[in-house]
Amino acid sequence: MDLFLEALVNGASLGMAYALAAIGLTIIWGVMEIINFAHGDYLMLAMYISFFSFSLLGIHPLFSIPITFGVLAVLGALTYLTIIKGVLKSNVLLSQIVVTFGISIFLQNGTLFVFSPNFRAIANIPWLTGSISIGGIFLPKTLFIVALVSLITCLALFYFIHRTTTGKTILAMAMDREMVQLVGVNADRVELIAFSLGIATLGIAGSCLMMVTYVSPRVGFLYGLIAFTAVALGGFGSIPGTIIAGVIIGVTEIFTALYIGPEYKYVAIFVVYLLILIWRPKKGLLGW
Amino acid sequence: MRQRNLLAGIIGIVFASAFSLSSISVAAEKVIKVGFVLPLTGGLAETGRYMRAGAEFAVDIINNKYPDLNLPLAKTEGIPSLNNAKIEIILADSQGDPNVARAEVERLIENAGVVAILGGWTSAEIKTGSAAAERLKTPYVSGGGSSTDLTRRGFKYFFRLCPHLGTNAESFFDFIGDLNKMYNVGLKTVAVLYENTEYGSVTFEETKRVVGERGYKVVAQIPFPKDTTSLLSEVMKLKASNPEIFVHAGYVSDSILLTKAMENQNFLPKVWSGLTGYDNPTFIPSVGKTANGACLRGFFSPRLRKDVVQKVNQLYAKKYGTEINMESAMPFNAPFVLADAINRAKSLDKEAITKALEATNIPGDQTIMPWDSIRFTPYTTPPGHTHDNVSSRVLMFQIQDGKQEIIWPFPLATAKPIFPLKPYDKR
Repeated sequence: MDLFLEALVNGASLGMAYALAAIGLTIIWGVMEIINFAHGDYLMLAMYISFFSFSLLGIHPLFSIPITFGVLAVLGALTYLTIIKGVLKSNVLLSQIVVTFGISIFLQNGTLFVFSPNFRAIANIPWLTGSISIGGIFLPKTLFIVALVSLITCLALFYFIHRTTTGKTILAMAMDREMVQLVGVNADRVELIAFSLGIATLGIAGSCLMMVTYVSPRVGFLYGLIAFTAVALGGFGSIPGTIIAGVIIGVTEIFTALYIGPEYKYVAIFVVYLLILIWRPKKGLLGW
Repeated sequence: MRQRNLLAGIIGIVFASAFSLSSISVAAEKVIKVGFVLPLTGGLAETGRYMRAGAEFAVDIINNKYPDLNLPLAKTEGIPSLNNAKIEIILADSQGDPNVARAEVERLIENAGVVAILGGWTSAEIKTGSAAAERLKTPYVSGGGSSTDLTRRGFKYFFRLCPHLGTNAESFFDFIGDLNKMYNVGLKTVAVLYENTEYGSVTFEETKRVVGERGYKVVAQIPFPKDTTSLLSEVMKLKASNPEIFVHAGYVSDSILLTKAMENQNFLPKVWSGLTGYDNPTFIPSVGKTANGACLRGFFSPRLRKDVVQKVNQLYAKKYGTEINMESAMPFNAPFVLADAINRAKSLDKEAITKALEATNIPGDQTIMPWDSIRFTPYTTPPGHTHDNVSSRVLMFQIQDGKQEIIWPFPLATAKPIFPLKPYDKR
C-alpha cells in the first residue's frame, strides 16, 4: 500500500511539472490556435538561463524565476513580432507549422553550437536536497516545490484569463477575432500579449525543471511532446484541463513503470491519450 | 613520312612520360580517404565531440612526425610504404541513429570512395554500419561498440578493439569475487537497470549469464527507455527489491537522473556500478558528492601507469584543454590499427588491407589502452567471435572524493575500494 501511495504522490507531482511545461501551450495552441513546434525548445532556453544564473551568479533556481520569466517574455514578444504575426496573416497552416519547426531546429542547433552538447545539471540544490517524508512516503523536496510553483502558476494564469479584461479579451479572440476587432480592440496587441505570456510561463517551468533534471540542447523535445499531449488531452483552451491531463500523464508514467515495466511508460501515456480522445474526440477532457 | 612518324613518336614519348610523371606525382601526393562515422548531432553529440578529437588527434600523429611517441607510425609521416601518403578522415554524422549510420557508411564507400570505415559509438549504429560495410566488402575497424553480437555474425571485414559486454560482465564478477574475498562478505543479490536498446539489453543478458554460471541471483531487472525524463519509478522499484549489488547500463543523461533519484529516495546498495556515462567529464560536476562511491567499468584512464599514456595525455590536454577520456581514447586506437595494416599491406586494395588487419600484432606498450597487445581472433562461423581483440580488458574504477580511482585489478589500482558505501542520510 505504501508503494502505491508513494507512486501516486510522486506521479501527481511529476504530472504537475508536466502541466507547468504545458500551460503556456494551452494559451498559444488552445486559445490562439498557433501550433508552436518550438515550445519545448523555449523551455530548454529557460533551463539554460536558470542553469547559468546559478553556476555563474550563484542565484538559486527558485529566485531565477523572475529572470527567466522576463527574458522568455521578451523572446516571445520578439518571436511574435518578427515571425508569428506575419505567418498568421498569411492564414496558411502549413506555413505556421514549418516556421515554428524551423525555429525549433535553429534553437536546438544554436544552443548546441554555443553551449556544446554537454549535459549540465545543478548538483546539490541548496536547501532542497533529499526528500520530505509524509507518513513513510518519500517525495523529493525539489519535486514538491515544483508541484507547488506549478499550482500557483496555473491558478494565477486561470485568474488572469478568466477574471481580467485582457484575459477575457484573449478568450473572446479565440471565439471570434473579427468581432473583437469590430468592437475596437487592437487584436494584434492582444495576440502579442497572449503569445508572450505563453512563452513567459516556460520561463517559470525552465527554472523549476532545472531543480529536477539536466539541461542539454535536446532536452526540450520530450517535454514539448508531453506538453502537446497534455493540451490535447486536457482540452484546448482549458487550464484546469491541462492540469488534470498533466497529472494523468505523470501518474500513468509512474504506475506503468512500477507495475508493468518502465520500457512501456511512454506507450501507456499515448494509449491513455488515444482512449480519452476516442471517448471525447472533439474536446478532450474539459475543452470548449 | 619518316619525319612525321618520328615526330609522332617523339610527341608520343613526351606525352607518355608526362602522364607517368604526373601519375607518380599523384601517387606521391595521394591522400588515403578513411570514413569516420560518429554522432555529431542528436542525443550523443557530446560523445561525438570527444570521439572526433580522439580520432583526429590519432590521424595527426600518424600523418606527422612525433619521434617521442611510442605508437605505430608516430615517428614517420603518413604511410611509409605508400610514399608517405597521408590519411584523410572524412566525417559522417550518424546522429546516433542506426539507420542514418548505415546510410552514411554506404555514402562514404560508394560516393566518397573511402578505403575503410572507422567509428560508430552505440552498438546499434555499429551493427548497421558494419553490415553495410560488409556488403560493400570494406574493412571496418571499431574502437568502441560493446555488444557481444557485433563479432558473432561471421563478418570477414569487421574488427573490434574494445572488450565486449561478455568480457565486461565476467570482469565485473571477477571484481565482486575478489571483493567478497577481501572483505569476507558474501555479496549475492544483483539488480540491473538498463536502457532498452542493444547496449543495455545485451549488458543485462550477459550479466544474467554470468550470474547463472557463478551462483549469484538477479532480484530485479528493469529496462527503461533511453532519453527518459525521470527515473523516479525505476528507483522505487530498485529500492523495493533491496539488492546488494546494483548494475546500471545507460548513458550520461540517465546517469545524472539516476544519481539524483537515488539520493532523493535514499537508495544506495553495497556495490553500485555504472558503465558508460559515469566517466563523462560533465557527470561529476552535475551531481557533485552524490556520486561518491559509484563504481564504473571503464576501458581507459589517463592515469594508467604507462609511459605512452602520460605523453599522449599531455599532448592531448595541450591541444584540447582537457585530459583524454574514454570517449576520446577508444576512437584514438582504431586509426593506428588501420594505418599499421595499410602500411603492411603496401596497398589500398581493400582485400589486402583486410588480410593485413587479420595479421595485426601491436605490442601492448604501443597502445594507450591497458592491453597486453592488439591481436584479433581469427575468422570463425557464428556463434563464435570473429576478429575480437584477444587482449582487451576491463578496469574497475570508483569515484572517490570527486575523482576516479582505479580500484581493480588490484595490482593496477591507484586506490583501495570504498566498501560498503555510506548511505546518503548518514553522510
